[in-house]
Amino acid sequence: MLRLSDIHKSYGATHAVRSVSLEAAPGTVLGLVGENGAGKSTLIKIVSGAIVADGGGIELDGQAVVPRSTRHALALGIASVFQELTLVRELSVEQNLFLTDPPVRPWLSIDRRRRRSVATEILARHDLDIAPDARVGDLPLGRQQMLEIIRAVERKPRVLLLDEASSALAATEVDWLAALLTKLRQQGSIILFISHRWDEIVRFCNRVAVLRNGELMAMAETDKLSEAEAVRLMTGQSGTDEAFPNKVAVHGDVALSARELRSDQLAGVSVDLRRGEILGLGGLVGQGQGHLLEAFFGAHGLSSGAILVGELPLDRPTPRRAIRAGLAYVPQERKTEGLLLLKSVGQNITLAILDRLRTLLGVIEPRDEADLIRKAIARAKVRTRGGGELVSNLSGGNQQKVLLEKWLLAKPSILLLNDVTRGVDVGTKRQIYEVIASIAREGVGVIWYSTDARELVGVAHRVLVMLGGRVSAELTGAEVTEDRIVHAAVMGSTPQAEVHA
Amino acid sequence: MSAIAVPRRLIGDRWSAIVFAVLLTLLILLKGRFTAFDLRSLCVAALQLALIALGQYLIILTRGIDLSLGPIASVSGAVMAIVIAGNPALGLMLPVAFGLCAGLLNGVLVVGIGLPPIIVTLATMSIWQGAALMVLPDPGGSVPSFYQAFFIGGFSSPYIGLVSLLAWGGIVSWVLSTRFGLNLRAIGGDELAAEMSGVRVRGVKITAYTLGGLLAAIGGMYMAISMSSGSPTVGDGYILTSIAAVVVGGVPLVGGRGSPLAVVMGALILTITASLLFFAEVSSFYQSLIDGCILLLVAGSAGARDFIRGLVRK
Repeated sequence: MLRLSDIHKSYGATHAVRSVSLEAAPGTVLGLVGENGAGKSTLIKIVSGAIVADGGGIELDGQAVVPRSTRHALALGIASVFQELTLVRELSVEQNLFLTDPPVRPWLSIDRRRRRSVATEILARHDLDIAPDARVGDLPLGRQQMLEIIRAVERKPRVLLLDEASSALAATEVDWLAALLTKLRQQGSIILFISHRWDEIVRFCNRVAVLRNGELMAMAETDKLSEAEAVRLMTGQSGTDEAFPNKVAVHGDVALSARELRSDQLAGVSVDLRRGEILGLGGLVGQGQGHLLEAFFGAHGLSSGAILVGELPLDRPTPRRAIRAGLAYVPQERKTEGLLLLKSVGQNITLAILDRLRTLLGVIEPRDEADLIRKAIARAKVRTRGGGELVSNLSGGNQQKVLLEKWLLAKPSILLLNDVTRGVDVGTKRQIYEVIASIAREGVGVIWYSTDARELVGVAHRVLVMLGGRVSAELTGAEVTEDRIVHAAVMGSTPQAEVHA
Repeated sequence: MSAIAVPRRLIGDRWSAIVFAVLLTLLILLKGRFTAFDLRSLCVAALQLALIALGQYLIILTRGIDLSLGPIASVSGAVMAIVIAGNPALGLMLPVAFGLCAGLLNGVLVVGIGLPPIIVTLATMSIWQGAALMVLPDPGGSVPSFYQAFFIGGFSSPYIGLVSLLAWGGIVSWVLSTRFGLNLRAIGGDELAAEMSGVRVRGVKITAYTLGGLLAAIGGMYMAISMSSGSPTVGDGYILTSIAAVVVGGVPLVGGRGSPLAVVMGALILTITASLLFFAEVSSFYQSLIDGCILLLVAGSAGARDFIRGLVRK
C-alpha cells in the first residue's frame, strides 16, 4: 500500500502541489491526469525522490519513507521513468541496463559474457527486439523509452512511476506496454501513470486521480469516470467537445516540392506542399518522417534528390540556407535542438530573427525587441512571468510554445514541425493547433510530423503515411481517418489501395 | 569491400600506433641504430608522462580537466628525494599519501563547491607549485641508485621500463573494466542521466580526481628515481603535455570514450618526438612548436579518418 498524506510543495508564491492525499493498493495502476501545471509531475517527482516535499508524508507498506534522491528511492523500492530519458546515449544497451550493478568477476572487472547473456535474456523476456550491444543513441526514440521502462521494471520495484513514459511509443509499442503493466499488476506492483492520452489512461489504469492547480479534484475507478467528466474536472469547465480548430483549406501555389529524396534513412521520397496547406506526416515512430523534415532543413544529409522552394532550387541545404529560403523547423527534442535553456524566454524568441531587428549602430533597439517578445508571448498564451524569465523554468508545454513562437516570428513561408505536441497537455495542445491553423490560413505551408494519428485527423488537410523511408500512403480530404492512418502505418498501404492493386 | 576493410580496420583503431611506428622508424633511420639503452630511455621518459596522462585521462573521462597534476608530481618527487635516503618506507609512502590527498582535495572542491574543474585546478596548480618550492627550494635531495635499478632498470636494461609502461596501462585498463570505470564513462556521456539512473556521480567524480592525484604522484616518484634527486619544477612541463598525450592517444575531450593503452601510446608519441628532434639536430626551441603541430595533426587526423571512412562507405 502506497499512501501519500497531505503533500505540499511550493515554488516561491506558486503552490505546485497543495495538500494532496491519496492511496494506491497493491495491484493498482493509478492514472494521474490534469492539465500542464496541475501538479502531476511534481507529485510524482516527490515520490521518486527527484524533489523533496515541503510538507506531508509518504508511507509504503506501513512504513514512513522520505526519498531523498532517485538513488535513495530505488533502494526503497521506488523506480521511476520520466519522459526525459535517463539512458546514457553514448553507452550500449547492456551497459545501460547494468549501469549500477553489473555482474563482476572476482577481480572486480565486469563480467561481459554474463552481462551479455543476462541482457539478452531480459530483452527476450520483455519481447524487445534490440541488440544488447547497440549504442542507445542509435535506437529510435520509442525503443529507447521501452528500454528505459524495462530497466526500471528489472529493478523489481514495489512502486513504479511512469511520467509520460509512453509519449514516444508508437501504437504497437503501446500494446507492448499494456501487456507489461497487466503483468506487473498481477504481480501486485503499485504503478502511478501519467499520460496526456486519455485513451491510454482508460486502457491502463483501474483508478484515476484528477488534479487541478495542485489540488486533488477526484479519485475514482476509471470505468466510473467518463471522458467528459474528467475533462470537466481537469479544466474546471464543462467539456468543450470541439478540440480541433476549423479545417479551412485555402490552398495556393506550390510552396515546396521535393523529388526522389534519398539518404541512408530515406528511400526516394517525393513531396509537394501548397501554400496554406497543413500536410501531416504519419506512421510508426522512426520511419524517416523526422529525417525528411531534417533533410528539408539541411540537418540531415541527402545522397540524391532535388528540392524546390517556390520556383527556386534549394541545393545542398544547410540550416542557414534553409532559413534564408523561408523555412523554419521546430524540432522534437526541444531541450537539445531548439532552445537555449539558460537564456531567457525573450532571448530565445528573438534568436532566429536577430538580423531583422532594427538596430542602432549595430545595437539592437531594446524597446523594439521587448515589443515583439510581448506580442509573441501573448499570441501563444505562454504562461511565464515575462520575457526575462529563464526558459528552463517553464513547463514543457510552455517551452514548446516559446519554440514555436521563435520560428513564427521569423515569418517563414514553410513551417516544418517535428512531433511538437509530444508530452504536452490537452489545453496546450489545443492552443498549438490553433496557432498552426491560423498560420496556415495566412498562407504558410506546414509539414507536420505527429505520432498522434488523432491530431493529424483533426488538423491536417492531407496526410502522408511513411514506412521504411518511403511514403506508403497518401490520404486526402475524407480519407484522412485514424483507421486508415494506422492501417497504412502498419500494413504499408490503405485498405482501398489494396483493392486497386 | 574486404579489400578496403582490412586497412580501414588497421588504421581505424590503431591510428596512434601507426603514427608511433612511423616516428620510431624515422628515429632509427636518423640514428642508424636503436640500442637497448635507447629503448630504455624512451620507455623511462614515456613512463613519467604516461602516468600523469593516465591520471589526466580518468579526469577527462568525466568531462573534467586537471591542471595541478604536474605540480603534484613535483611535490611528490621532492618529498621522496628528501625523505627516502633516511627512511625508505616513509619515502615511498609519503608521496603516495600526498598524491591521494591532493587529488581528493581537487575532487572535493570540484564536486562539493561545484566550481569548474579548470578554475579549481588552476588554483591548486599554483598552490602545489609554491609548496614544491617550499619543500625543496633548489634541485637536490637524493634517491639511492638501488631504486633506479629496481624500478626502472639499469642503463642498458630496457625491460623493467617497458614492462612498467605496459603494466601501468594495464592497471588503468583494469580500473576502467570495473563498475567504477563504467560509471566514469556514463558520467562523461551524460552526467544527469547517470545521476538519474542511480550512479553515485559525486563519489565517482571525487574518486577520479583522487586516482588522478595518485597516478601523478607516482609519476613524480619515477621522475625523482630517474634523476636520483628531486626538483621543485620538474612537473611543470607536464601540466599541458599530459592533456596533449591524452588527445594524441585519440581520446576526445568531451569525455566518456577512449582507452588507457591509447593514452600510453600518446605519451610514447610525444616522447619519441622529443628525441627525434634532438637527433635531427633541431633546436630545442622548436620542440614546443613541433609538439603543437603533431597535436593538431593527430587530433585533426581523427577528423580526416572519419571523413575518409565516410567516403569509403559511399
